[in-house]
Amino acid sequence: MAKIQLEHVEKYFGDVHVVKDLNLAIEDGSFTVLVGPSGCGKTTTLRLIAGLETITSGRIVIGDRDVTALEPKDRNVAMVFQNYALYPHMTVADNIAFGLMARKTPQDEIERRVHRAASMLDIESLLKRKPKQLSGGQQQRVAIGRAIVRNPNVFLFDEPLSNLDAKLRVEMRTELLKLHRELEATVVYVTHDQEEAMTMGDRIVIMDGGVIQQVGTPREIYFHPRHRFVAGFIGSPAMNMIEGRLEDGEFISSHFRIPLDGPAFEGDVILGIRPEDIYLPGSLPAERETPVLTAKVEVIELLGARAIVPLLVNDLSMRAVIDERHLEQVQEGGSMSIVFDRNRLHLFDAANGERIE
Amino acid sequence: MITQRSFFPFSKRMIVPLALTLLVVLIYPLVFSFWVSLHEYSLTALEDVRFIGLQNYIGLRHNPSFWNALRNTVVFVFGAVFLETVLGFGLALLLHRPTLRFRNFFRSILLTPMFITPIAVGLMFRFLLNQQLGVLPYLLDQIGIQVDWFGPQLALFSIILIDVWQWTPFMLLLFLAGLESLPASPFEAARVDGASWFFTLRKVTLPLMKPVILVALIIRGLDAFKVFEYIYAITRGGPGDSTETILYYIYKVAFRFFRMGEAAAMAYVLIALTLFLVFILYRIMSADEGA
Amino acid sequence: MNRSRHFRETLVNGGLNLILVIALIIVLFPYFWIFLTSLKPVDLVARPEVWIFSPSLFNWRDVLLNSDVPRYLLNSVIVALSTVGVALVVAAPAAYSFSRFNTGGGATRFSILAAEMLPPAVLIVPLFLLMFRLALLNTHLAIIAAHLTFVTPVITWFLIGFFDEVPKDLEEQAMVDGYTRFQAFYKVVLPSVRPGLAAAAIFGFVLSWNDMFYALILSGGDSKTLPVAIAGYWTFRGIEMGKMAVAILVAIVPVLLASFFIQKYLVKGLGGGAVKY
Ligand SMILES: Nc1ncnc2c1ncn2[C@@H]1O[C@H](COP(=O)(O)OP(=O)(O)OP(=O)(O)O)[C@@H](O)[C@H]1O
Ligand SMILES: [Mg+2]
Repeated sequence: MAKIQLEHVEKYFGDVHVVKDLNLAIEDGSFTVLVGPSGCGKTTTLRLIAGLETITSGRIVIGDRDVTALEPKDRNVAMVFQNYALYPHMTVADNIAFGLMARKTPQDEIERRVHRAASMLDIESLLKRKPKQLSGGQQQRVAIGRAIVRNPNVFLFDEPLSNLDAKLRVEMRTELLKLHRELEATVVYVTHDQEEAMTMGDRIVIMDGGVIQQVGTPREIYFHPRHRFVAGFIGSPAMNMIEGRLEDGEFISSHFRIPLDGPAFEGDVILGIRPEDIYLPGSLPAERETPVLTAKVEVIELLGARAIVPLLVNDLSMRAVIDERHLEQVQEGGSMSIVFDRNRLHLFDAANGERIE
Repeated sequence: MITQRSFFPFSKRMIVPLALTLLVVLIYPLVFSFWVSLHEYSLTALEDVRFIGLQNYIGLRHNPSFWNALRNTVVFVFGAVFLETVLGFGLALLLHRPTLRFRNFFRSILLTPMFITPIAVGLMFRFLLNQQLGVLPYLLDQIGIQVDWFGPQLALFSIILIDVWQWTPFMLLLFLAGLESLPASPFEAARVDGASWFFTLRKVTLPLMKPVILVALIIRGLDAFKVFEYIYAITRGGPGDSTETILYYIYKVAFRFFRMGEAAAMAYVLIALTLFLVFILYRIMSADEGA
Repeated sequence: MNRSRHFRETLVNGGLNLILVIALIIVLFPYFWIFLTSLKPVDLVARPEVWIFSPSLFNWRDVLLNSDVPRYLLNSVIVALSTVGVALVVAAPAAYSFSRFNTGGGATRFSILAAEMLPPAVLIVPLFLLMFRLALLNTHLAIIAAHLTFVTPVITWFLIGFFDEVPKDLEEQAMVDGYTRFQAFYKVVLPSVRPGLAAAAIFGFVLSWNDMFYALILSGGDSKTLPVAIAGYWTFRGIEMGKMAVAILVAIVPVLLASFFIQKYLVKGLGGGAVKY
């Protein structure tokens, strides 16, 4: 219902520079996830959009309105807080109706909209209760109900699922996505859980130290991380990072060498390879396999259909994810042959961490 | 050893000193006081102490001075506590603003009156408000206002104002602490939801602060019933008996007229009254708490 | 638009700050005036229109050197210190017991609060008669006993709030390490609430120091405390005003200084662990 633009946004808390020259265009109707390590400025960015913090410099536009100087109430945004921020002394119905009452909406209209929101969230039977009498998941729904009842242009979520248990969290993810489709609203969603980011966002914004490292679809972020930080942050188990040099198109580390074709770069680099892109020889088309390396198997951590296998390749610790079907060829304490998928190798400039194509 | 433990465990041994102390200085006098209240007990006739049952209590019904003191006290308590609550809450809101600079400085200074001995406060204001010597009447006179602060019309009101000067800080202290301990996010949610300042105050702040307000009202209300020093320092109950409060009247009956039995009976009525008010207050405040 | 909103906010904020400044003046002016009066030469004391004059230390010298005020000050110190000393010794173990074992159930906390709130009128008659019979009127002991009636419950109430916050693990660790229960309390728990003890002691001291009602009735002559002595300036002869100002300052300045140290702890103490905000 509204696009959001952040232009050269800066935020200082006293002397602390928390958000640094942030430029971001969030498309109308998109589900955009802000993700990054703790303290990187996600919450602050969200609160800047909501107007709960004033920006030090820069400009924020929602729809076609410059809202930089507007109060939160004049921005037509709704926010769902991590701890839900329900009013403990009000019933669920009053909690949901609060924003409408504050805007002096007629009583019958309030009732209609509260009931519609409640039925969307399946909490109609809870309307007369107080927050204390609700489970965490139910409180979460009330908090969301309070946001949707107002028909805002933009929904802002700050880690809304982090207080729920694992199972409920997965369920609520699906529900939130369904809700997003029904409401066709613009959603900005903060999380520090990269899995949540990957499954929910149609666009992901990765932040680190108050700076945006990459904006893209989950696929782009996963397969083409633009920066060493992004590559390391997204994916579990984390990408293997190997320090080395590029000389005449060959990657040289103290542990092994891999001839590459393509990059014209010369100098210190970091080679990234995801654990799931490590294979037993013969399982990939031949042209995609790198030269065979011998690795010592330390242990096997079986996860079910797959196993995480910590390896030592000439003293270099790596992790591989091996399909359960191939596990019989692998023994703890034994050694195995491995190859990497050429198409999935990532190279980063060691000097600034940027991707080398 | 084992039996001694279970009969007299550590937790009980720890309260023995307190229990003994309170028994001597508190419980014994309380009981003794009740015994005295059932007797004709005059300090001027100690050899002639007679049991008279509830006569001292019944006699109060027809004692206009007692009723006058009671009325003055109730007016004083309600007036003072009301003003202190409103002003204390207002100041707490002012001090709670995030944009305020020098908050600690303001708070430390504004809280000081509650620590001073009330007799000094009484004398200070008697001096400040005195018709001939006082600086305030002088200043008011300069702009053409003449007020007789301790005349028959205003004396009780002036005493209330003095109490407000000294004890609004107490309300401020509790309310400020209460505001500071409220979670921030409901207020941010209210801001995003478009609630005005006043709407938030009415619908969020006040309801959340209710327990604090209740405690503050009870403590301060009970304390206000004990008003004595201002009266002693300033009006001694006058003009006429327009500022005679219950504690001052009891003091007079006991230590000017030496009628101990009657004084003890009044003291017990005072206890009953304060307990009753606490009960009412508690009921009112928790009425809509249900569910 | 940004500008005008900014302007309006500044204006509102300025107005609200102004209210605070006015409140500040209302609080400070009486102190200021009393201080000014204490420095006025005798002939100016009764003249409110005089604000500027050459200050004289006459009143200060007269009160501090040639009057009984120092003796009354000493009385107040003796009474307050003794009261607080006794109160701390009996209150600390009890408060710990109430906090840790909920001894006596929820009613205990309420009775402690009730004791704190008891109108002094109920106790003064029997205390007076008792002291009269024991021939203890006009002694420090009589006032100390009376002050214990309210200082002890207050300090108990105060300390409950602080003990509530000491983690149980602390003393359990000590007992595992070979301390008895009481040693664990005395050597581990007590030191860990030292700020609370200090705040409670200061607060109790202030309460005792400030009392006039009990002291007025139970003391006289040489055993008077400072508040009773101050009340003696009631006669209000103009000439006495300067001395009264000095006496008032002597009584309030120490307490005001102490107040800055305990303000921080006061709320937790007054709440007594009963009010979890
Ligand atoms: N009010 C404030 N005053 C000073 N510093 C602040 C304030 N709020 C946040 N910060 C700092 O700004 C940085 C970013 O904080 P922010 O809350 O945006 O992080 P976050 O990315 O949401 O982290 P998390 O995942 O832990 O919630 C942190 O270093 C934090 O310490
Ligand atoms: Mg955060």
